Amino acid sequence: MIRLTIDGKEVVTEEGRTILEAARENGIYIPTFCFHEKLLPIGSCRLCLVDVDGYDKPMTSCTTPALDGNNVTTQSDHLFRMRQQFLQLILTSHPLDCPQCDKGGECQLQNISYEHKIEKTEYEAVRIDHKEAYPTPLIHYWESRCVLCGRCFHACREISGREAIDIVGNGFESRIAAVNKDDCISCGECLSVCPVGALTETLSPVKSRIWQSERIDTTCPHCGFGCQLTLNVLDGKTITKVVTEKNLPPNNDSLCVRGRFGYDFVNAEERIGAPYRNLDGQKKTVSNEDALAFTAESLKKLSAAGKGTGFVVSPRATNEEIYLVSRIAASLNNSRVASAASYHTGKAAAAFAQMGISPLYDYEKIQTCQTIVVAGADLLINNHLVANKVREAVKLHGARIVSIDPLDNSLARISSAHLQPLPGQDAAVFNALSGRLLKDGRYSKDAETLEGFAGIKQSLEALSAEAPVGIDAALFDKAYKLIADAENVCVIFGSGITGNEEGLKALLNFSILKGLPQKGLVMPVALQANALGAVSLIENMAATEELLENADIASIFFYEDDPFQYLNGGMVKTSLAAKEFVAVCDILPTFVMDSAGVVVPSAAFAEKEGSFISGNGSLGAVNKACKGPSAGFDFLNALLGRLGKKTYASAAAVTEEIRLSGLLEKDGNGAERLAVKAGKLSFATGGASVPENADAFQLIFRDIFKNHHLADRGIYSKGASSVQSDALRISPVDARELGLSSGDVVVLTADAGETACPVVVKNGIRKGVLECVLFSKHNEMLSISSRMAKTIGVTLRKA
Amino acid sequence: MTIKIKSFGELKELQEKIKAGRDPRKPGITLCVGTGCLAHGAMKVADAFREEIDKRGLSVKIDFRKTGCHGFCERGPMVIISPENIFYQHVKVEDVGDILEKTILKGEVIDGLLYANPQSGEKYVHEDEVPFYKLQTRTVFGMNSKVDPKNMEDYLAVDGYSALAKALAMNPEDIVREVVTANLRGRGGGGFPAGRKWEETSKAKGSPKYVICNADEGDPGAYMDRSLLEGNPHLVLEGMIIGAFAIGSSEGYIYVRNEYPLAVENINVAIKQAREAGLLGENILGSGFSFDLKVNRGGGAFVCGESSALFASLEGRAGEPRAKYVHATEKGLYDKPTNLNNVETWANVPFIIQNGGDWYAGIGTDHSKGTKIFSLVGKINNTGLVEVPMGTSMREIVFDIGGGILNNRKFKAIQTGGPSGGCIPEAYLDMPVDYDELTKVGSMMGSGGMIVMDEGTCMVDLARYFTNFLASESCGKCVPCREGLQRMREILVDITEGRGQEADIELLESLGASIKDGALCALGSSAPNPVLSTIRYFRDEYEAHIKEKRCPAGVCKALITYSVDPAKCTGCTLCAKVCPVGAATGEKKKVHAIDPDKCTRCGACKESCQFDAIIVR
Ligand SMILES: Cc1cc2nc3c(=O)[nH]c(=O)nc-3n(C[C@H](O)[C@H](O)[C@H](O)COP(=O)(O)O)c2cc1C
Ligand code: SF4
Ligand code: SF4
Ligand code: SF4
Ligand code: SF4
Ligand code: FES
Repeated sequence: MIRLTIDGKEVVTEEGRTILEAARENGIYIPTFCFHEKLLPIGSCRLCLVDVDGYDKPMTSCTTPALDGNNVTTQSDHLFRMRQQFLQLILTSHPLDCPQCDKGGECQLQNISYEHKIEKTEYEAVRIDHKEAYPTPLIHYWESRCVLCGRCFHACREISGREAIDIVGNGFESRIAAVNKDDCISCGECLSVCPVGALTETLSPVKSRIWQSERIDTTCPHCGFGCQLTLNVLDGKTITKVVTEKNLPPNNDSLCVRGRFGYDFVNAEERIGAPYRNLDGQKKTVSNEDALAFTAESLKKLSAAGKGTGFVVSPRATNEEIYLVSRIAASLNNSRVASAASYHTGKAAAAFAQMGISPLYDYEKIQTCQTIVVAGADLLINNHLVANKVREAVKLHGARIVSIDPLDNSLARISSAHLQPLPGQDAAVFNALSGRLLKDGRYSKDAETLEGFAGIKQSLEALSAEAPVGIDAALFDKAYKLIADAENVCVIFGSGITGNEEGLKALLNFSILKGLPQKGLVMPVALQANALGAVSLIENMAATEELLENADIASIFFYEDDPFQYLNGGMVKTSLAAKEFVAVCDILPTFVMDSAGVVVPSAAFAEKEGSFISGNGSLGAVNKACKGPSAGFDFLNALLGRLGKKTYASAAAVTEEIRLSGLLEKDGNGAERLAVKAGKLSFATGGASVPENADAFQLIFRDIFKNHHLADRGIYSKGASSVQSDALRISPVDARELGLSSGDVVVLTADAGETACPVVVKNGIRKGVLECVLFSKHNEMLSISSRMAKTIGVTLRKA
Repeated sequence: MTIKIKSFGELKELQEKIKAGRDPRKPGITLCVGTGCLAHGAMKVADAFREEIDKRGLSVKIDFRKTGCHGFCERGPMVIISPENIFYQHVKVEDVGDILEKTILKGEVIDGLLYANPQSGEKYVHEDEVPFYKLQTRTVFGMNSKVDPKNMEDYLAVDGYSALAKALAMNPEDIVREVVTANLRGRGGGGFPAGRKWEETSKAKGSPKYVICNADEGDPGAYMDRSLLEGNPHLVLEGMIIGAFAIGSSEGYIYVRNEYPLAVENINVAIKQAREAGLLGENILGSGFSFDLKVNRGGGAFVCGESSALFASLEGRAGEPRAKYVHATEKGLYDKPTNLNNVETWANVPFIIQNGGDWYAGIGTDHSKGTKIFSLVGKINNTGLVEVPMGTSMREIVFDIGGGILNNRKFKAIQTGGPSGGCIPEAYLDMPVDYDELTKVGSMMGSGGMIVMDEGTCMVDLARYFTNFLASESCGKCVPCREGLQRMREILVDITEGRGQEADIELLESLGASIKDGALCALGSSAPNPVLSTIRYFRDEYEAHIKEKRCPAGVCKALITYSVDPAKCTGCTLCAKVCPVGAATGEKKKVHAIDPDKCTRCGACKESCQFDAIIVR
């Protein structure tokens, strides 16, 4: 602790703090402009100047460390005049087009100029506009409005870990420009920190400024990280942009491209407006009442006949909707509920439960870990914000990253070691790491007391503790050392791990051996917004294909789910043709609707009330931002009534019932989260065998299980589609061997068929592996494999 | 050289052996092929010497040596004949035969090649008698005329690397203490005490530690660092190796300005030689200390020479200054402890170690020690590089060493410290030149640039020129420098073009003060110097421009008119012939006239008039 005097007041602060921080902690105001809490000090605006005894000129408080005994003056005529002068200088070349600017009313330049009583400027100048393209089409750069504070490119580097933009040109010609367009991930972090209207989003065709808009906080519907965001809504119906301004956890105003720009599907023209029935291949619009009656009667009839009914509910539906689906299912004979959450989150949750690991975790714990292992997860696509947290740990606390991924995950570029096992061979890597911890006696001694220790000790001792075949020994040693030396380790894993049971067990055994989760944390990424909600609410959850293939299931009700997004389409079609009744409730046209007898509209996230349970177990509110009925919920509720069951007054009433069931509890801060049900820690048996790969190539699907609301039969989000697309990528080594270059068309063959598509050669992919990103071409890609899998074996030839 | 020197004793032996093999009475020809002399055609002269020496079969009898810059660039190409030390200037290819025939073979002095004092006409035979040299103290720079930069033996022959051997036998803390005692201050511009920097870096936690040599030298007109690196690279290397040992660094960089290919070549040759000789790399001179160096080409911009921008550039990022919250000595290059010093700073180190900090502290003034190399340019007779002890008066430098103002015109001012230095008027000619005195009068030491201006210079135009340069070199990162300099530039353009307004001077002053105090890096905080100092000393010129719309020096085109003095005009018609726009007219043998509306103020008439009849006002 150090003591200093600011404006005559004695204050105490921690060593290493800046003068600005010391002042703010003590409620002393110093004007700032370029400074941003989430960024390292930039020091470009010079408005935060203060006088410090012992220095011959004013110092910028945002960059000057507070030292013991400092005597600081923050306000004086001289300082005020300097600040005024710098503001005037900024304003000189800043156009006064405030009435036209999106930022009008919430511009920090307006605010700070007002505060400094700037009425006119003594100079005049016009900044030229070079009209250069910004790296993402989703953002427009207004060069003349830019005050060159530097926040945007600092955010791009520091928060998003990219280097897409920089300040270029000299002196008055300086401007922000794309220096590495391909590095941009359209996260919009730059946009969100810009203090003026120099960066604006281009997505919404209508704009609305702050006083014309309503702002409704909600939870991002796109992945299970649980980002808090605010919808800017015009006239109670049109979302005109997403903003982040409240600094709420877990994302503290950061978002990924989906969260920030993936809202436009709500306004998509293709939205299903009215219920319809497919009669003799013709769509026939029907009334709500007809659709409801038809569905209720069909379900009742089948149930009465003792035939089974299946429900496939989206892990993006709210808890309340999932709960209603479960209630409906419970009222029918022989029914089952399935969800795509079963593929990843379901498996992880089951393993955690079995091994006594709590599914709850605190993202902030990442900051306490010295080594962070990221396995089988590309945080660029799922839980992007976790990558930001990891980067923060690296930037602020010197943490090191070990990536275990055959692909080039988004953190590989800053990883200290990137191990690239073949898909499915992760078990070998984790077992070797565990084996070496055991051999060196560097495992957590607590582990010895746990059930299963002797067993895994024995099985690991039988295996090699050296780098598995195909993994560079020096890199493996480096990774091992980073892990062994770290007091706290964080293990983050994705669907690349859960796709293979042995790998998951090996990873979890390794984690427990290292003393996790007490010393650090082990966390699965949560793919869909409410995957954990679905897993927690649905008892005896099935996988979708189990219901499709089960002949005893005579009817299926799809709630906001399209199995064509993750299963072999041919198989889905054939199975559904054999069902007696198929209903679909969704917001936009999907492939499964072709097989449905009745289709009813649902509501998008911005149109309904409810909640999600994020991957870390916390409850996030989904709030209604747009007027109109909450179609899906209302339909489910009415259906319950028709089936003779209790209906609910509102979504809130459902939440209350969920609460009463004991599924939720309050954490220390009073926030609601999933009630913890963790048992006693134990090791899993097995996890030691590694599958053989017979095929020439292992193809890894990415973006599978992704939100079909962005793209399905059509492309529903211009925001997402302008930066995302389908792609098949191959390593340079394989490309050379096969004589392929980017753009060449290849034919992929697997057990169920073949398909042709162009390849792109990409660095960072392991030899023998193909990376397949799915965005709108799920059908073509998934048709070649008969079984549902994250990874499939394929052969490949040049077309 | 391929022998590896494995101990201090072996170094001594080698030095002695080289010296013993050299006959001090053997005739020698030393030709300067530094930047200035090359521009005057020194390479052709060198070729001619080689050819003529071979032709006459003299190659074994004479030592012929090409060296780096000697400093007297005005008089290049220059030749020194040893052992007598005869000094020939402006040597041309045609003179080569004569020099060999007459001077070398017969011992005759060629009168036409001697340097003559432009004022008195007095001629000097020997180099050390020439006032330009005689009045200097060429401690650091003097060796340049004795070594061929590509031949390490030359450097060893003048006891090169002895200081290194001495240092390696010392405690690192003692070396730092000598540098502290010497009070060597940074020669790159900031004047920060090198000893303190070394101390901080050596105490800083973290590894590796880096030592870096700043050879970016972006000041237009300055070339001392270039001349040192090109002419005597081993001296700089020796300084750096000593520094690295004192600080505990094993890795170093030399960041060389992109436009200096010869410096890069010579330093690379020197590094290779030093490595082969065991003076760089593992286990230097058998001492157990290891250190190696890499050479990097600069990013090109002036601001890249600023320390944090230089680190960014070395790290492969845009060369822009960063806000410093921690000293570079703790977190510099790659956030590791880093000691950055200028070329000349490093070059001083071997002398301090060899002769002791106290010896060094005995030279110079209270707070500025040792000698400093200045580049003397502008309206002065002897342009070139001069080295004098700190505290030498401006008058001595300009008039005694520099030989006074060109064409016997009147001295007006001198700008010191590079483009962002201030302009010092005649009244201060007798001030001693050192860090603090220069700052006191509104200028700075900078890297040691000196530009001399005569009465024909418009101080407002000069301020505009430098502000323009600096505004264009501003990296654009911080508000005061980016926006403020642009405003100053605009105001100055307005003033020089006749649009000046009453309040402009005050506006310039207040802007200048805010930029000085508020800019992020030293480019910005020193950039107002040219304007502020010219306002301070030549306010009347500003006022004349603004209030009377008049340029007293007759430079600002918008403010001057050309007319014909009827008393002097002979009607020779020359002005009418040369005027490109037909503004000057008149009949033969009658007084001519200039139409002010047509006149573009190109000055052609004035230049052509033989009778000084064109008046500029
Ligand atoms: C705009 C700017 C340009 C600079 N250029 C140089 C340069 O070319 N060479 C140099 O040695 N120092 C230059 N400096 C000074 C360096 O920042 C630094 O102070 C110096 O290299 C430290 O070495 P010294 O203490 O030995 O002088 C420059 C500073 C500024 C602000
Ligand atoms: S675009 Fe915005 S954030 Fe970036 S430098 Fe300009 S004003 Fe600052
Ligand atoms: S959108 Fe994200 S990645 Fe792209 S420039 Fe902005 S901050 Fe960088
Ligand atoms: S990380 Fe997930 S929750 Fe956050 S904005 Fe992106 S998709 Fe939404
Ligand atoms: S003072 Fe000028 S050169 Fe230095 S950081 Fe600021 S804008 Fe860049
Ligand atoms: S807030 Fe400190 S310089 Fe901008």
